[in-house]
Amino acid sequence: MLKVIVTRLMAAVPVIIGASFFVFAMMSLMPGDVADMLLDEVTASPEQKEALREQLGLNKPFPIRYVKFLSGAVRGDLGRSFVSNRPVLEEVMEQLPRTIELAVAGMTVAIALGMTLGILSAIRQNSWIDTVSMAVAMVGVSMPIFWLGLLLILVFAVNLRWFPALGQGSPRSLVLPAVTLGTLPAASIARLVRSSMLEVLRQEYMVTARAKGLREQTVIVRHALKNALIPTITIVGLQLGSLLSGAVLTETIFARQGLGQLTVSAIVRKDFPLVQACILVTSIFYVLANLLVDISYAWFDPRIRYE
Amino acid sequence: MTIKGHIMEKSDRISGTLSLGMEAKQENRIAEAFRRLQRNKGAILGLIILVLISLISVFAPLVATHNPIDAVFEESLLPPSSEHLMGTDVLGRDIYSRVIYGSRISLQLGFVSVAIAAFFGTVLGLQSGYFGGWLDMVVMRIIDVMLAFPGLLLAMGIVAGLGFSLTNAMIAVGISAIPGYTRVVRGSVLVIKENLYVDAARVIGCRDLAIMFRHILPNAMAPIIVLSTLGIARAIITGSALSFLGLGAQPPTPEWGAMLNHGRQWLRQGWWVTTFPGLAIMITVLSINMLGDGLRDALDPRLRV
Repeated sequence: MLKVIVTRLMAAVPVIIGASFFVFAMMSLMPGDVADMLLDEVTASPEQKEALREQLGLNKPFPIRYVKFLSGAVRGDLGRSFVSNRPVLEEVMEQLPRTIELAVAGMTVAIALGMTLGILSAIRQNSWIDTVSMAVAMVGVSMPIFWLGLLLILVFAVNLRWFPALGQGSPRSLVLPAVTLGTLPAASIARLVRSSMLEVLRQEYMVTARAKGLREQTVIVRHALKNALIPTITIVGLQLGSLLSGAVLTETIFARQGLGQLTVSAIVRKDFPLVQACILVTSIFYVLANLLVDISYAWFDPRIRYE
Repeated sequence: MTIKGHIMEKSDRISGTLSLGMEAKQENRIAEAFRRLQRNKGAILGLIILVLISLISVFAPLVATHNPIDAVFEESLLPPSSEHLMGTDVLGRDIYSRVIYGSRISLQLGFVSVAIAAFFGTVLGLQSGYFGGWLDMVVMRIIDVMLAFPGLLLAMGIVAGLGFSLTNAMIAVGISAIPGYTRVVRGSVLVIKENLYVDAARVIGCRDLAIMFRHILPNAMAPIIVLSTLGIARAIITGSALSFLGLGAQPPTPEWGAMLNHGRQWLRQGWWVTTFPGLAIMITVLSINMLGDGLRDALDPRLRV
């Protein structure tokens, strides 16, 4: 098990370094001069612009700038914001917990809803429950989450007044964002749980379990579900990406503070150091989360551990 | 069996595969897949809706009742009526006509970004799988790095560098979808290149390019078709998400995501402003997903996730 963890960790290091290069290149190779953008074109003298370029290290060649960026990044220094002049990592870390809170709430909704729908439709295959759940799942994967969020606000906040439309802090204000964020992954999870349950239900050990005289409930939960869960872990891992993308949209819809909101505003303000930091931290977070899923996969399925 | 006999037998099999056998099998497979698709009611329904949407977008000037960009300030935020089928937005623009014209943008966005992704993804996957070696390793590491970003974030980063416009949104969505194609195509190529007909093509002196594009690619088409179909749906969602965030199509373009972004500020005053463009995205994406699911079941059930 330790070997699995170490191998996966080692494999993640080059990916993260590659990601840092990618982010840096994306922001550096774009057309336009940062000094022109930051300083007023009319009033700023060429000397002032030159001084700013010097200060930001923009007059050095690209590879040198990248090496400087990377060595700073390793020491936790990703530069300062063009707008607030604060260290960008500080701004990102301030927002990260808010996004994690939202992501965890969204994932909880996704797993609870997705598993319930998936299991129900598998054990009642071809019944009306199955048809309805799979239709809901199909609509769920086709629904743009930014529209779903607006609909939920329209129905539950504007008309029924059950939950607040905007803001954050109280558990009640987390409900609508969590449902918004969780629906799309829930639909994918439901579809996968259904098909992997159906596969397990056809196995011979299911017949054995029933022949032993076990109660139907025990057969489903202990024998079928436990085996059907393994592929489900993978899809939960795959859904992390759509969860992080979805968090950006959800935060925008519900005017919540968080990493997604910070990223969007940094992009709009052309605050490139902050954009770099936001995207890099999100991707590191994503890679590590996937790593965790990978490791738990090996934990749950011994066949993978011994390969 | 003598060596000569063995070689003759092998060459017999080779010529058999090369001439009649392969073409007949290919045609059979397509006919078979088409029959399976026809039996799938959801896929046919999706296809019909998609054709309707395409017709609407082609004949948009005839279907729309108003100019999608003209603002009439006296008619701000009118509810749906016989004059304005889906009401008007805060600038007094007819939402129905904007939704109709928006279909052009979304379909274009879907097709262009998938074309970008499928082209580069397929070429990269094909050469990686076929040649292997260090080039394969480099390409796959780059793909790994691209996969380290959640899709929308990658597109957002690219748009941040390129600037906000519909064209850049298409490019960004296209680039961020490349890894999926590269991985799947590479995987199929690794299997296909072990086939006898690939050896045969090499024996009769085909060049690598010819083998890759004439012998391997046609046999790897099934997953590419399925991925592209479902990819159009995903591209429309990601593209309109960018516009929703203000990073894609800019006003006054009648883009569905941008309309939602504009309308959400008047959610309390007019439910119709956001409801109809959202419905339009969902119906379009749903029809493509239904068709894509059907195609996957008909062409390549292994792709089912």
